[in-house]
Amino acid sequence: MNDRTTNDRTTTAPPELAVRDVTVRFAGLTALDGVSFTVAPGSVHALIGPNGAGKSTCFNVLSGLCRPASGTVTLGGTELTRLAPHRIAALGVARTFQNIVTTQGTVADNLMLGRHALTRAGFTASALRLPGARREQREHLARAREIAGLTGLGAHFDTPVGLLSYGDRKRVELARALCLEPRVLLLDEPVAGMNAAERARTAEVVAGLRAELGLSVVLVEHDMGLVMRLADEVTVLDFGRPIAHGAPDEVRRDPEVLRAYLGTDATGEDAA
Amino acid sequence: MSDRITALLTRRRATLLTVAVLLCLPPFYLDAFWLRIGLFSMAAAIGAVGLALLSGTAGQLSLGHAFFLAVGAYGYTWLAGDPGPGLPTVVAVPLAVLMAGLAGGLFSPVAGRVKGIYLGIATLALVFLGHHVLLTAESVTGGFNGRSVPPLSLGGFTFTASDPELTVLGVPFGAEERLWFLGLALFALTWFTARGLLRSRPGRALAALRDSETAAAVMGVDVARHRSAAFVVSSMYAGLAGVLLALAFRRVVPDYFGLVLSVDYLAMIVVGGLGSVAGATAGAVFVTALPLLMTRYADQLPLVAAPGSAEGAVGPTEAARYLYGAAIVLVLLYAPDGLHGLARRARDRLRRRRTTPTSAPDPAVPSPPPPAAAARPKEHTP
Repeated sequence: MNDRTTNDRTTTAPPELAVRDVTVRFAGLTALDGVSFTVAPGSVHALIGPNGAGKSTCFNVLSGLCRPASGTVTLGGTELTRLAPHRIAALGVARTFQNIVTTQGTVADNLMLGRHALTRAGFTASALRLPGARREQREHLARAREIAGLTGLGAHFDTPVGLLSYGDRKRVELARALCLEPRVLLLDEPVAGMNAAERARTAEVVAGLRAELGLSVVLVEHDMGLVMRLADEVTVLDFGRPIAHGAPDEVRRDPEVLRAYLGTDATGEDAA
Repeated sequence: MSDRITALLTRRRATLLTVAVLLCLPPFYLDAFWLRIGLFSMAAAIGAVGLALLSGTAGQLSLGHAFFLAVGAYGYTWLAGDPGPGLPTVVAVPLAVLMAGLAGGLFSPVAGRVKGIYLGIATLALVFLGHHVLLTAESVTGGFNGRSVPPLSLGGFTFTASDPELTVLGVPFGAEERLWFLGLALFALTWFTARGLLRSRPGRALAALRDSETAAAVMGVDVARHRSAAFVVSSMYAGLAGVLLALAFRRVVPDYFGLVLSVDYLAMIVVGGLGSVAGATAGAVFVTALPLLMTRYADQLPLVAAPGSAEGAVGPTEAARYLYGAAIVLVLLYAPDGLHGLARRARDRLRRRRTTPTSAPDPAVPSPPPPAAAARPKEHTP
């Protein structure tokens, strides 16, 4: 790997991501109500809760797509709440979407979009095909190919995304986010709609990422098996309010959580 | 593997060379009428490529393309002419292009914020504003009657019928022959730069903006900046097209740069296939050449009256408009990716035939649709 394309952010420990008292309102509906949690550097933090609990809204706040009414999000010493999405991306926060959002073109095109914040070639240099711009493109393409291999997309690198299976397209999103060389990776239901084999594979990739790259992961997922396996810490949301917080084992026994998932007549069954 | 890539590269280079040579031949064989069709087509292609970048790639509709063509055409005329600074024409050409870019940049507070079809409405204002200015600012634009365009001269070489007299291979080189090569050069520049843009970082960012603004933003694309930049780049291509048009027409008049011209350019990129340089070129040739050809051959065409003859009959220009209106409808219904898409699918089919000669498909059995057709990316409206 060439030095020019490796980012120093991958070699240092990621900064702490702290969410403090974030409240989001949509015309009277309080989507998030005083949510606070801290993602320790290099940990996997799961955000769970029933549908409509505000998990995706929380991601939108973290990635700058949604501005909270009050509260702050800080990454290391930087406040994210006032920044535009592309600035947050440039700080090394990458995300995937719940419903796949890929762009037209090949897997390579999508992954190279992930390199956008790490590359410089502008309109003039690209139009004139200046040597610097071409070299940059070549180098970053090599890294994108590497990441495609890492996520199991190596064979599909030049395939149009539209031709790929559902599971592969979800992996394209993951690979694209990884192409940002993120310090914090936000995964919104990375295995939703996948079959058992695909789930296992994605879980492996995520676990591997954390081990190899040491990045922090915030995970929204309904698959409790996956959450229990991967997460170091879990925050449970219900109707926008945080109702429980702690290690996976503690959370799964929390009566509030059981009530939120199973209704008031919960008899202590496993929430999963 | 690498051998195959080199082979492909050399084949591509050979194709490119062949096309270049073929494009250099017409001045030696065709008369001024055909050369003028070619010239107007080349100018239109340059403008259409610019609009394709904006509408096809970035997904931003513009009805203001005529305005930027006018800025290029009048900009050159004013910069190089009298009244005006009377700059050397060689300097006036790039300055006129920059002027069009600047005009696009001045519009960027709007172009950066307004999205898709709403930008189309906003740019509509530019056309009317531009037309009004062209009519009233007589000292610069010459008013209703327009201005004559100073011919381009490069060093001692002038792009006119004489000065110096020039005969190449026994063919006297008049203005059309000379301008043909100028047009080719500018057209080549357009292809080179536009394809470079499309296949690199800014091009991918623009396509991402079109497909999903949120995904693009989250991946680090500065949405407003890229929208404005796409608008500026598209304006600059329009400006270049305007300069070439002015040189080919030898006179600029305000009425040419109306809303109809903007719509013509939209028709070009729709017929050709949104978002591709080759498609925009094909569409430009189609939309430009058709009315000229129909005017020329009006007396031989059924249902079409010669220009200025019997009332009540359809004039060739109108007939051409009906025809390309019909072409747009057909394209939208049956080939939404335009001429470019049709060509690509035909090529894929050919290639598949060629690569599998042993299992040549039985003509009686309909061959399955090529993968490219099934894989056609999702449609989008500009």
